[in-house]
Parts: sequence; structure tokens; C-alpha cells
Amino acid sequence: MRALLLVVAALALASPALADEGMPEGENPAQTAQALSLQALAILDWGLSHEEALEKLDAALEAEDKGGVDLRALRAAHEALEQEEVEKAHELLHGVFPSGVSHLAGVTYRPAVGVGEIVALIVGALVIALGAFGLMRRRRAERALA
Amino acid sequence: MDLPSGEPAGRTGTARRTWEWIDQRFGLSALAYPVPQHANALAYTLGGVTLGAFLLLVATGIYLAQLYDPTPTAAHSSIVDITESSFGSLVRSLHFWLSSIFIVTLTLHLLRTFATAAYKAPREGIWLSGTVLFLLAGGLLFTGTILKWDQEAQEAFGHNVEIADLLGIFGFWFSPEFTDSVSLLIRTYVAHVSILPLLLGGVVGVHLLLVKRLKISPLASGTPDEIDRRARDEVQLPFTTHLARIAYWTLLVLGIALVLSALRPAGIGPEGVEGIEITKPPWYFLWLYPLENWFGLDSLVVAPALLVAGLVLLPFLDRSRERDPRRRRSWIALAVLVVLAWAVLTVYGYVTVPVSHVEEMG
Repeated sequence: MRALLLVVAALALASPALADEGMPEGENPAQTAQALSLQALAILDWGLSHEEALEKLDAALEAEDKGGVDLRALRAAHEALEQEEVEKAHELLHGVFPSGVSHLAGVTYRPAVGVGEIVALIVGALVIALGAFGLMRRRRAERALA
Repeated sequence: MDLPSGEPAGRTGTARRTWEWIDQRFGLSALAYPVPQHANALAYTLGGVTLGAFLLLVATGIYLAQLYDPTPTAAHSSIVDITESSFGSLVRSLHFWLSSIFIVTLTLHLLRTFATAAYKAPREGIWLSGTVLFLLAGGLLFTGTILKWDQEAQEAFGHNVEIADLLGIFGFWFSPEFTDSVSLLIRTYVAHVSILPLLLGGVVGVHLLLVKRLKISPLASGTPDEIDRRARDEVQLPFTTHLARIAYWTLLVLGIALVLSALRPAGIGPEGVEGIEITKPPWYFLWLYPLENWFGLDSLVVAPALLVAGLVLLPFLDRSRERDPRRRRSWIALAVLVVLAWAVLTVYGYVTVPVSHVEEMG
């Protein structure tokens, strides 16, 4: 019980330090250029509305995070789609991913490791130590009981 | 951790009187009933640790529920907002990692129960209620995946709708056609935060009552007669020592989840697009991914159904008195095969390029 109280106290002390310190207002960090381009490619792959694909490419060009994409190819694909050259845009979009294996969207945004994560790491290590210590104490106590 | 042991040893004065006051009103010393010493080994504590992880999931889930908006237009942005705040991101990451730890400890508990033949008479009810818990846990993981409403969630949601169609009349609740007034995402949220946890809590209650009534299974080593003899002679400890062990292991789980949350915070994908497929499911459902590639959508129903049917039938098929895994080689070999198949499918699902799935589906 004492150990649990310590954990709660540590987290409670830590929480004011973990208040908002994130991205600027209005940005959506999950919308990276790579993920949006991939969605646009999949929309064309599946023969869905090319207007929707164009919207995705618009957003990709405006995205804060433009890592993992060939910007020149992205702009060319965007231009082709604007001129309703869907086939050409589709072909160009395949060249947007330089590594050639980035057809994997999944998670595209992880918060950077900041103060919160460092506090969590320290509290986590302490909690593990408390748990391990408690288990050792229990083992001794049980041996005595048995 | 000083839990009631029935005898407030070492306590004097105010502490003793306080303990007696509480005990007279809440009967906590009744928790000090005897359990065999082996119940405190880690392998026999996994069920309790799973319950501990579930309680931590409930606690973090309550916090997240204050900030999450389950309407389809706002769900994704509310998760992004949670992720942008450091404390929100930490709690969300904890929820994410605890859910993984929860399914790991639950599966290990199931495997231990299988290995020690704890499903055998008279404990079939414990096993069957455990199987229901396993299913409910799967439901919680699935609905939790959908709530973040990113591309991966959108695809899981699409599968949900397709499976509802496939199930026909049995899938009506999972279908958007069930009602026009409430979106399926909101109903999924309701399932995640109330229906499934309440059901799980109820079945956990039954599961625990049965364990209390039928007692923890004996150490599975030797012939049935040797096992019975050893069970009669085994040292007994108060159940409160078992609870204390569970509490400390749960503390370790919390610590591990905190460290994982710090090193690898839970992420989020872009807002989902309906009708495309470019992501893979989370690791615990990854084994189904290649099956869907090879055999189509039906396999998402057939494979889990076969697994559950096997679990349900097990206590009625394996009816011998043998409990020692060394004396049940064919059953153990079968379990090893199933685990191997799961591992191979998971690894294969992990290395497969998702676009191949798109092409096949397209």
C-alpha cells in the first residue's frame, strides 16, 4: 500500500510539469506528407474519387512533416492530378517514396521524447524497483510463515 | 504491503483498534483463507496480474474518456489533442502498453492453465469462464483499436462492417444499419467503455468465485495419485499473501508500462480514408493478416471461431486424470503447434508488404 501511495504521489507531483507543451495550435502532427501521399496513392489504386486524392496531396504539400517523400515527385503528381491526368499522377505517386517500401502507413506520428517521458522513465524505474523489493520482502515473509 | 492476514500481528494501540473497527464492518480477515504455497509462484499469479493490469486500464481509460470525443468528425482530432499534451500522451501511452501487457499475461495465464491441465474436472467452469474472458478481452482490444479513428482504425472499422454483413442476422449489432440515429463509432465507444468492461467484470466475478469454490489447481507433477497426495500435504498460506504478490507484480507491470510509454509513446496515424487498405493490424491481430490475404475475409471469422471452439471443447475431449505435462505429450505437442503457427503467422504478417494486401483486395 505504501508503495502504491508513493507511485501516486510521484505521478501527482509530476503531472503539473507535464502540462501542455505540445505542437502549435491548428497543426495536426498526425498528417505527415508521407502518410497523406500514401493515402492518395491507395485512393487511386482502389479507383476511388481522384478529387479526394487531390485533397490528400494538397494537404501533403502543406504538411509540417515532409520527411520520407520525394518532394519533386510529389509536386509533379499533384500537378498531374490537378490537370485530371489520373494515370500519370498514379504512376508519379509510386515514385514519391524514395525507399520504395514505405507503403506502410500505420503509425506516422509519435510525440517526441520530452520532459514528460523523462519523468515517466524515472518514475517507471522507481516503480519497478519498488515492486521487485516488495516481492523479495514477500518471499522472505512467506518463508517465515511456512 | 501489509494486507490483512486475520491476525493483526505487530499492530498495537490505535492501529490495532482501527484495524479491528474496519475488520468488524468489512470482514477483511475473511480474505485470509488458506491457499496452497505454490499459488504464490509467478505462473499461478498471472491471472491476478492480468486483473491488476485490467484495473490500471480502467483507471487510465477513465482519464482518457474525459478528453475523447467519439463522434466521427471529432474522434481523430480529439486523440491528436490528447497526444499533443504531455500528460495526456503519457496516459494514452500507458493505456496502450498496458493493453499489450494485459493480453500477454492473459495468454500466458491461459497457456499455464493448459500446461497444468487446470481445465480438468471439476474445474471446467473456470476454464469456460476464462474462455469467455479471453473473447471479451479480444473485443476490448478490437474496439480500442477503432476508437483512435486513424487510417488503421478506419480499416479495422471497415472489417467490422464487412464481418457484420458476412454474419448476416448475427452481425446486426455490429452493422451501421442497426440504427440511423447513433453512429457505429459511438456504439463501438459505448461497447469499449461500458458494455465490454461490465461484462468482463461480471465474468471475472464468476471466474474468481469458482476458483474460490473449487480451489486452485494442484501442482501438476507426477502421477494423478502423487499429485493428490502432494496436494493434501502441501503447506498452506493465507490468501492475503497471494494478494500481496499480485499487488507487487502489478506494480512491476505498471513500472514496465511507464518505461515503455517513455521510450516509445503511443502514436497515431493520419485521419482515415474509407475504402482503402494500406495498414496492418496491431501485433495481437497480426496473425490474422496473412490468413486474410490467402483465404479472404471469411478467415477472420473462421480462424478465431476454430480457436474458441477448440478452447471450449478441450475439457470435454481431454478427460483423463493425467495432469503432468510430461504425461500428456500429444496435448502439449498440439499446443506447441498452435503457438508456433501463431508466431509464424505473426512474423509473416509483420514482414509482408501491406501494398500486396491492397493489390489482392483491389
